[in-house]
Amino acid sequence: MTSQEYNICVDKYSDNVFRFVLKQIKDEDKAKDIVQDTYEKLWIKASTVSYEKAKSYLFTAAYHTMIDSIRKDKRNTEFEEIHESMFTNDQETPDLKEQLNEALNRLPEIQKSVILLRDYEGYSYSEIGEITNLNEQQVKVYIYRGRLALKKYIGQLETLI
Amino acid sequence: MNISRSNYEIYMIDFLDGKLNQPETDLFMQFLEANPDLQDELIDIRDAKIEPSSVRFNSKKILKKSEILNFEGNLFEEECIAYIENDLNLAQKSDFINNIREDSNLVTQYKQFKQTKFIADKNIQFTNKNSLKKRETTGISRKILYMVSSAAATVIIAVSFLFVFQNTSKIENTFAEADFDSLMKQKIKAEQLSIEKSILSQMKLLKPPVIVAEARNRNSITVTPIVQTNELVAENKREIQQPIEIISKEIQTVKVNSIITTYTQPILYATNYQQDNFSEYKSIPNYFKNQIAEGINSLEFPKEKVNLFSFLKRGLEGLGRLTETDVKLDKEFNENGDLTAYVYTSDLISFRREVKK
Repeated sequence: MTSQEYNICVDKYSDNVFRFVLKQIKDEDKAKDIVQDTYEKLWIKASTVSYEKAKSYLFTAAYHTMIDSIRKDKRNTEFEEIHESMFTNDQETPDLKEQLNEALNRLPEIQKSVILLRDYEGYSYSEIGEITNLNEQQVKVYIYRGRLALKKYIGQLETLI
Repeated sequence: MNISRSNYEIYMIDFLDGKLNQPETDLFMQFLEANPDLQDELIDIRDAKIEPSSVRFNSKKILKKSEILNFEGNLFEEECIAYIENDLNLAQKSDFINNIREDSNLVTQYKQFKQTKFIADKNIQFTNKNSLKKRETTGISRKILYMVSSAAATVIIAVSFLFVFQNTSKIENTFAEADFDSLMKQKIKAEQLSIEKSILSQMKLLKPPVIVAEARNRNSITVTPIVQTNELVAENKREIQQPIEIISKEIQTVKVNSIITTYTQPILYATNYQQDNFSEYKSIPNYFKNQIAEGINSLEFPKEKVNLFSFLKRGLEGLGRLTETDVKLDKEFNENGDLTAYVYTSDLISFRREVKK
């Protein structure tokens, strides 16, 4: 990959990678750092990664960097979630988007990632499998389980309403 | 078999179901004739039979479990997700829609599944794209660019060393020769003039020669006067000598008028011409130029084959002499005399680059 092609990848995919990471990290500064690290890794490997594979490489690198970051901060995150749940008013009626975001945050990391890769980028099961180091069947199961959990959460809220 | 008014219902239902044999049927008919009020009851019961309904339970999939996926949901939920994920073919999609169309509960559940599909928010953008970009090269790979740049820089350094110091040595030599020759000649001439002047002045002070005697030669016409003059003594008698040829390799440290130069190898063009306060030495830049020129002259450069490798080699060696470090660039050959590798060694770093066949 030439430096020109690399710069094209910056223009084409940096927003997508940023959205994908931000949706899960919830911290804009950390998400930007992850995007920076991801592109730096691509630059280092520019001589071995072709332009056609660049998008896949970016999401793979971003996914693994993000997972490492999440696991590193997991203790603090769990602490915050526990304390936040004490003050949540379950009788509130947020709109659908907020419901979905809330539901997404409750999913396990892997289900969250595969659903976002599927919905945001339109990756196939096999492509998602390459990014996340899973086989096609595992990806399908995680997506189905994730959608089921999201639907049940939405259904519960509608029932309350 | 004894049919009475306390147990007739059982026989009546068996009769209507066709479960009584012939003797039992005859006996039951005789009982009905003996009890005519029970005949109306038999007719009522016969007419009260309910026909089976054609109603179907369409939500069997809600009850069924997935046979393919290890999926906790039921078959209907799996089909909903498959429909959303576009995993169904056209026929399957059509069946799915037809199956749920009549059941509002299933339609509601399908809509809820449809809402779980996320849509990317295009307003979320990575704003600092320029910090990610790299400077573009014009179609040439970085590797080739680095190699060409390195080779060009080394060639430029090597050629500049050759050109500058070769010319400098010529100029300097010329200057030295001119300087020494002209100075020496000027000095000698000046001394000669001063001596002549002093002689002349001495001579002016002398009295005219006195003819002491006449040497008469009776037989000669010319008379050779005998002139007695005082001994001519110049004020400053100098031993005039021809300037000797200066050979640069024979330069030695010389102490002149108690002035000791600060160089480790002071450059003096020493002569046996004694002249007060006359000495010549070169400045610090000249010292370095002389050292490099001396070094380059010793390399027998013009005799070697001139190519890129030799330029690099000489350039690096010249650089090493200037910086007083050991820098070498050599080739390695195998038993067959084939070039196998280039080896670079210096005080700081050494590396070996194999030649690919």
